[in-house]
Amino acid sequence: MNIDEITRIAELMTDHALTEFVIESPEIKLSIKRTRDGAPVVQFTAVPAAAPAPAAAPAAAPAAAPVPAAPAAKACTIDSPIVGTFYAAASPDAPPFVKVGDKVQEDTVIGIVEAMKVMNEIKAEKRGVIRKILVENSKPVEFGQPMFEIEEG
Amino acid sequence: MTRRLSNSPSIILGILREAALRKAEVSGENICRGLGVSRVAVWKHIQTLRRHGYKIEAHTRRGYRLHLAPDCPSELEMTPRLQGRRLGLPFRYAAEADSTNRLLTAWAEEGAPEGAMIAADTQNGGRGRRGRKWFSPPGCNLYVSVLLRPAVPPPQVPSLALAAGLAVIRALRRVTPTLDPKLKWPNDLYLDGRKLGGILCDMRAESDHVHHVIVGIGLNVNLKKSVLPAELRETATSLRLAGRLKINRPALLVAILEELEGVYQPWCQSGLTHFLDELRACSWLQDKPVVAVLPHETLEGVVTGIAASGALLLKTASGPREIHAGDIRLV
Repeated sequence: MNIDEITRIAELMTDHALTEFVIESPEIKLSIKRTRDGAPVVQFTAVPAAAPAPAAAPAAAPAAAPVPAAPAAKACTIDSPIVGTFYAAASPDAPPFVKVGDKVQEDTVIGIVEAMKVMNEIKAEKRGVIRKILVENSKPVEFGQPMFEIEEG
Repeated sequence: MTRRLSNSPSIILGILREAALRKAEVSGENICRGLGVSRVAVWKHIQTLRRHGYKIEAHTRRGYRLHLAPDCPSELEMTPRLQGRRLGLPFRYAAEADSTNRLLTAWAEEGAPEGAMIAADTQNGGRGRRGRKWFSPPGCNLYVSVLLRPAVPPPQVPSLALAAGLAVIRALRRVTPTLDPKLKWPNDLYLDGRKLGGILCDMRAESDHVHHVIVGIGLNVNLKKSVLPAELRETATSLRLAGRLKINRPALLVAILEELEGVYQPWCQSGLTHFLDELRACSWLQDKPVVAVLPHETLEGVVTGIAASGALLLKTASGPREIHAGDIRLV
């Protein structure tokens, strides 16, 4: 289980308004709880590899303190600075600037917001990975509306 | 890209210009003494000027005389006209650019100050909105971009395109008073119902801070019909085509800069508030029935004015509407 999968689960929980999620397998135990409006709290317990344990060990594994592992990767949104129309590509027949999963640098152009023919190139402003694209091509956006979610790192 | 000239040709040009006003020649020796360089060096600089399109006659005894300066917004032509301007400096000229907005964006990100300007004689990647091309032949038109760094909230910036359009209209009223150019919301300049030019602004802002705004102006000045591609012949015009005038491009550019300076400060302080009546008066769409193609719907109505936000005001069967984005066609 990697960060991407955990992030995905947290997103699914938010999308479906779930407050608790637990998965258990021989290798891990993952539990995510979410307060009504807060960020998910992730508890991630790695179970030591299933090597035949020395006799003295058995009790240790389950007791391993729930580690607040996988420090929930820092995600942030890129919001529209103006009211306008969002464009995902430079021109109607060009490929989109970015897709979900793309790595971006501070100066990577990730979209355009046009208002009254003033073109506002939106840059990532941080280094990371595009987690979500929250607006559709050529749809209106409001001032301050989140357009992208970027996971920093 | 842009190319630098040494200062000497520009100084010699200044001396020749001044003499030309008195219809006089300047002796090579006087130039030598003035600049502290050899006669051979002076001759070389004169050759440089000639290569840039200056017609300079040389008389064996009397000296050099400037007969004709090229009609080109080059550094040599613009620099003496830009002294002391708030907008237009620092200035770079490119004989050929892909697009002046793109060049200036790169310069802005290297830290160019407010006022910085790039003009090109031709653009090989001139553009309008959404990847549309802007026809940019050499030797006849203005393609120029000016860098602004206004301390205003980002949502105010889109209305700058209208203020800039108004500045161009004001400049044209002064330079070509017989013509009646109009502004077609939000960024086109029209003359006799045909496209004369356009304003394309590129901005970079975060939610609470404007890094820069680039005001790009494309204006058909001395464009001839024979140069226009067939598909533009019925829809485009130029000052020369409409008014049978040959306009000096550097002089027109200076007039535009003066007017841009004139609208910029009031716009920074209070947006379009002071310009609404004037905008209405020069609006090509005012009181006309139009079809507005918006992202989600198509509206029909009559244009009643422009809002302080820059939105186009429309009276429709179902009541008044404010249009912030969309293509507007006359019915």
